Formats: sequence, structure tokens, C-alpha cells
Amino acid sequence: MINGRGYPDNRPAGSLVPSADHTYVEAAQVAGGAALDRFNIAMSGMLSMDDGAYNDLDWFSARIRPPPRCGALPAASRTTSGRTCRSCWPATFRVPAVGDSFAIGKASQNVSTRIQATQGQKILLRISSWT
Amino acid sequence: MERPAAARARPGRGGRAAGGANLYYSTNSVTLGGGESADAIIDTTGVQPGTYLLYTSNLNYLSNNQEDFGGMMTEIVVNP
Repeated sequence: MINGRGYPDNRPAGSLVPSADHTYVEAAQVAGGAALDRFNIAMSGMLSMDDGAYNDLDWFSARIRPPPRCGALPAASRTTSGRTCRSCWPATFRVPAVGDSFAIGKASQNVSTRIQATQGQKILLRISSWT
Repeated sequence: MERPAAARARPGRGGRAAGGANLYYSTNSVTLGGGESADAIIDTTGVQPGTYLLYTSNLNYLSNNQEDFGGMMTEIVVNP
């Protein structure tokens, strides 16, 4: 990868949908019928095993931002209680509505890797090999 | 595809050895071992404006999973 991304991801606008093994919530939406409140969030999908934690709960709502200790529930499946995290819900928490859908996948680095120069300029590259 | 020449040296040494000897040389490719780094200067003087590609010659790194072609490659755009 160059700059954390692979060519030609500097061509399409927006960020890429990553591969499933780098996805925290493979597919997520609020399940119908659940009594949703600030302690009870229903969702479908699965946890990624790459670190076993919901690091970015802002996939559900941009306003949810639990602290790092708000880890994965061991049996997270179709309904996940947020009670273990209730102390970290901010006052601005918005309860998702039934039928809400959310972005799938975790955006990769949204920085273009394209290098541009005007003729006559010099470009300095530092090239490293990790393997 | 025509590629602009690159000159390189070991990083952080300014292209010179401890005794002042010049380690700078011109090349179109860089070969690195594991854990190695190199600094390269691409001089676009006299280079025809256009898009050039910086890429690995290891073909197995030029796959971008489901996007097929891509991977460890990027564009170098030389503007007039």
C-alpha cells in the first residue's frame, strides 16, 4: 500500500468500502420491534474479529462515541444492550429510529496518494520496505 | 511507459558517505531488502507533462483485492 491505500483508490471520489475482514459491523441497521432507548440498541450484523471491539460506534450515530473501555459484548448478535456503556452516552445521543440504515464498513484513509508536480520541480520520495 | 529518472541515496545522509564520497546515482528503479529505506528524488526537468506510475515490480502486490488491478501503485502527474 502507498500512504495506507492502494491504487487506484485515489481516483474515485469518497472513501472505499474496505474488505469484510477489516469491517467492524458487516451490516447494520436497527431491527424492527425493539424498544429502543438509550440503553437498548438493536442491530444486525457481526463483530469483526480483527480486534474484537466496537471501536467506532459512531457507525450507528455520529453522536455516539464510547470510550476505549467500552468493549465488545461477548455475545453480540441481533440485539445488543448498551447498558455496559450507559455511562458514556453523551447527552447528545440520538436514539436510532427503526429502519435506520448505516454505512457498511469502516472508511479507509481518505487521502489521495496522487503525486503532482509542475515540470521542472523535484519530488522527494522516501521508500521503505517492511517485508 | 516512459518514466522520469530517479536518483537515490540512503535516507538521511544527503547522498554522501561519512567521508564525503558521493553515493548519489541515477536510476529508474529501486530495489529494497526487508526493513530497508531509500530516498529518491524525481527530477521532472525536461520530462514530458503527463501521468506516470510509481509501482512495485512485484506483480503479486499489484492486486487490489476485489478492485482487481491496483495495489502498491500511485500516479505521478507532471503538469506543464
